[in-house]
Amino acid sequence: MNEITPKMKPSAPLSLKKNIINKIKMEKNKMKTLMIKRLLATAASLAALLTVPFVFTANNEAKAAIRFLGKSINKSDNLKTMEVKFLMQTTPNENFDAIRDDGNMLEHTFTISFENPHIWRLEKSGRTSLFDAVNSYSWLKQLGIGMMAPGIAEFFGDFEKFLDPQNLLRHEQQLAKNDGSEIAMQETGSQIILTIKSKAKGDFTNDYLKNSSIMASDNKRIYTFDKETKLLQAMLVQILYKNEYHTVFETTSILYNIPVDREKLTERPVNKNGQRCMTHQIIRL
Amino acid sequence: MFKIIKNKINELESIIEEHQNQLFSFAFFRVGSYHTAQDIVQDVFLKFFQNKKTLTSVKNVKTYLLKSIANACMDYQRKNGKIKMVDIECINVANDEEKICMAEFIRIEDLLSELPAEQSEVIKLKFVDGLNFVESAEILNMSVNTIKSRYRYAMDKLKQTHKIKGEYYE
Repeated sequence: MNEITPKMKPSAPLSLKKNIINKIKMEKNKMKTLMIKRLLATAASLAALLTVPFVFTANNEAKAAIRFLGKSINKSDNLKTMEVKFLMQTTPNENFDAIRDDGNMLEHTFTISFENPHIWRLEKSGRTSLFDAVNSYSWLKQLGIGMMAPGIAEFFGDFEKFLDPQNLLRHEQQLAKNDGSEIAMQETGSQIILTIKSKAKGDFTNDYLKNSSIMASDNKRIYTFDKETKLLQAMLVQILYKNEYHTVFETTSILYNIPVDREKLTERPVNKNGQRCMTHQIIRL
Repeated sequence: MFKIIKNKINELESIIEEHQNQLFSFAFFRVGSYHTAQDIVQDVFLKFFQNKKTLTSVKNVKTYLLKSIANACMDYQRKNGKIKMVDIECINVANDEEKICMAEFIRIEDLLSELPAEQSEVIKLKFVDGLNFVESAEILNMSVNTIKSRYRYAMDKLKQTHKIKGEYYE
């Protein structure tokens, strides 16, 4: 039956496996992009979610406002870029989510390009973390070394809660159910301000970890968003220490759809000697 | 969470390595195009990965994937109509392997052209893909007896038309 048997069978192209794996990674990242995009309407969605208990007692006007806010979540889907500048009380080399009482209010810049594939960069004077659509890197500029992990790694620590709206929403949802959280919504001429007061979460029997991060502190989070564009305008986080609220996180500007150089966004940072961090100095996680 | 995804990707990588040549050849001899065969195999693997259950619950991965490829090829043929035969010289192919394989594809299609599609498929499963009747039955969702009888009819016809010589065995 040789006539029916092919004399040669084709081999799968070398690119086949690579394409499949890349596509899978891209899909995962795309899902993550959508989640991140929704961060921009976090305040809106938070308001919508957090005021659920309020709905039961509120009047129809409030219900309409909540519906309006809920719709605003989708507004962020059309965004191309976002740049958030914020101050946080920490030290230059510390993890991004750590509050340090010996630290200062350091400037941070968080930039996202939502174009496919989406990429982002979070930077402060001593540390840069970035995601180049394939790998995540976290560079310690002083040492000129970095860590690399495939996909979206957890270099942002607890701070990632603020970058990943789903996590944030889940977290806030929990708080909404918690009797210890106080939620207030205030509407001004052009803004909607949402204030959430929460108790510290964690085991603080020896008080060592208390106030080491936002969530490990009695804290107050204030979200401000534009009533018309429905986008987040500002965010402020204060922690309660010795009966007084101290600001530990404060956005200084949030810009949308500004031109972003995608190449620069994923560029390796410059170390203390003015040299670019080397890829061979990467510790693969 | 990330580790789970990573482990699944590693598992998928080894599955791809093990089956990619057979699946690609299977798709190629149904659609007659390297490019389309690649797209089909890629899509099937992606769906296989995205379906959370398949990586853990499928007992026979090879048969499952072949069946998926067979269905995808049928969908492709349904959408794009019957494959049009062209002269091998007219085809712009990238390399010699592709050229030889295209020639083989055209030769086999020509050989089986007078058979009804269902008989032709049984012949391809046996001689092109090297599968036994049990595997063929599983892929086509039919009984082994149906496969065997289609095989007999097909072989008789091929002998009558002098397209094949010699004896054939089940």
